[in-house]
Amino acid sequence: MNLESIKSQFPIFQQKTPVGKELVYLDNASTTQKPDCVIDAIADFYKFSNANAGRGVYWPATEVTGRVVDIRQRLAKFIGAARPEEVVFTHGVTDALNKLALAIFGGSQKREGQVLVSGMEHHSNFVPWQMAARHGSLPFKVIPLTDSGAIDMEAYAQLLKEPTSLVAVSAASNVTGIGNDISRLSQMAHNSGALLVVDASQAVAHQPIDVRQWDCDFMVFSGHKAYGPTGIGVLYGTYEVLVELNPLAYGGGMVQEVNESDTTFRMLPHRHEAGTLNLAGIVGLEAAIAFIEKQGIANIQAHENALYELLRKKLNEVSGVAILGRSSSLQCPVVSFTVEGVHPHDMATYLATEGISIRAGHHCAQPLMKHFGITACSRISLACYSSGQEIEQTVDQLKEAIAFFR
Amino acid sequence: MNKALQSLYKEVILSRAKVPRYECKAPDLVPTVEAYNPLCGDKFYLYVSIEDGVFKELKFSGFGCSISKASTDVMCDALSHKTIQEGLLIIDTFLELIDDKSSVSPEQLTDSKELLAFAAARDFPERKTCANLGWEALRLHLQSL
Ligand SMILES: Cc1ncc(COP(=O)(O)O)c(C=O)c1O
Repeated sequence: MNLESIKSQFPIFQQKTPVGKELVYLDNASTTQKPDCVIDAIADFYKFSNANAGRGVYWPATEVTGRVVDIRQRLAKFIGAARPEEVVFTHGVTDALNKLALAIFGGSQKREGQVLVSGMEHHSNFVPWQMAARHGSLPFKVIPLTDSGAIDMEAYAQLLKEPTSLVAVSAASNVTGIGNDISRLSQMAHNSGALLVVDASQAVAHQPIDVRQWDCDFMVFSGHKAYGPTGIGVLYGTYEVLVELNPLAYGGGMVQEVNESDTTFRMLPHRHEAGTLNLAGIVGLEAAIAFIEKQGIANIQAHENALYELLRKKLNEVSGVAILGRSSSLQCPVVSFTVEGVHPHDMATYLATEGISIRAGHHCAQPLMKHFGITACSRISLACYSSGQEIEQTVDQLKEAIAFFR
Repeated sequence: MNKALQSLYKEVILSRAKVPRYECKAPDLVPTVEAYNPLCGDKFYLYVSIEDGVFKELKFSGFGCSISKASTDVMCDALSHKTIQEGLLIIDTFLELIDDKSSVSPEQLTDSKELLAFAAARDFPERKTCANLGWEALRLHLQSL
């Protein structure tokens, strides 16, 4: 992987920040930057082939419809799905999880048993389940974490002794980067008759995703965290579950026949895709997947792992820095930490004036913050265009910031 | 370190954040107001005693960045021994002083060095919710009295 060539494909890095510095972008867990191929694919779509999909008999509608079919196929392959109908387009992870929670617990099928989420979940894989459980009068419980920030498997096994309808976990934490053994979590959930939902937001740009190996019932990710555009995401569900599931939303494009007394719905995947799809987003997402495949996810992973190790080592050398959690075998390149005597927001502002983008706050994971006994922390998250030089520069500036604020 | 940063983190702010004068350690008191920023999780508890319409004592505890801590500390100072009406005016002045949309220059609004220290927040609109954390919360509380 040639870092220079990769970086040159991202136009945002071709300019300076308003303070005249090179942009050192280290908030990739929030959203990644976009390469030319993604930006061009979106512009070209609007310029040369814009029409609605699945509706018109004319060109360009026919072309767009065909493309959506092809892209769905490609995405199915990217995530290891058995069939393209198992890929449902959404507006992103938050959109998908909210709709899924409603469809599973608000539908005609009566669900029994508690709902479990892990203590490391992002609010969007926590609150929708908490609320759905409440509406369904089902117990909602949080799977505890170990001191190192991983899911406590013994506690999980213990919890599963109670009847359980669903377990929602992330493939990797957006705070600690700790990856979960999804296959094992899935096996245990299934042994208890529960569905397993995987939030792959953080994994998608950094690790191979294989839903069949994971054996999950659902998996979601957002395009924007994998070099793609905002407003597009994928919900994977097994055919058997999706076909029975209440539609995620109602509207145009998903109905078979509408009568005053009742409505019937189309086959998968249309059953779950109400309304005009984010077509430019779908096209942009395809370009993003192509970008990842061109670099090779294994190459990206190797590059990022090396940087991650360097980052941890450098941070550990700074006195007063405490990294949250221990690294895992399925680690994503995210490091969160606190700095004694320096508030994360002050740190982030200091670094921002040096052109360095890191994140401060609770990272939409307040239960995890409480687990670590803090309210906020700083977070550095890497991507394929990150470099060792950027890490050195950031840690140097971090030391300056500490001297300034202490 | 660059100039903008130096202007944001004025000596007043840094020293107030390091050694606040009105901070109290988790006392047994019941807080009058909770100032919470849901975006970052920062939270201060304000303990305000008012007698005959006059602020008798203001204290705070909690957790926040230099800007929010210093600004809350300065607020306690600025409002001590003022009437509620005067207090509300000072709060409005401060909120305008840090407002990047305001057409009035900070120096026209006040000559208080302590308050003016926060004027650079206008150049850091993303830090406005830090600078106004305690102030907004107290204003809401006073308006509800
Ligand atoms: C682990 C995790 N889950 C869910 C989300 C929500 O994703 P989105 O904002 O794209 O809906 C994020 C991103 O913020 C995340 O990191």
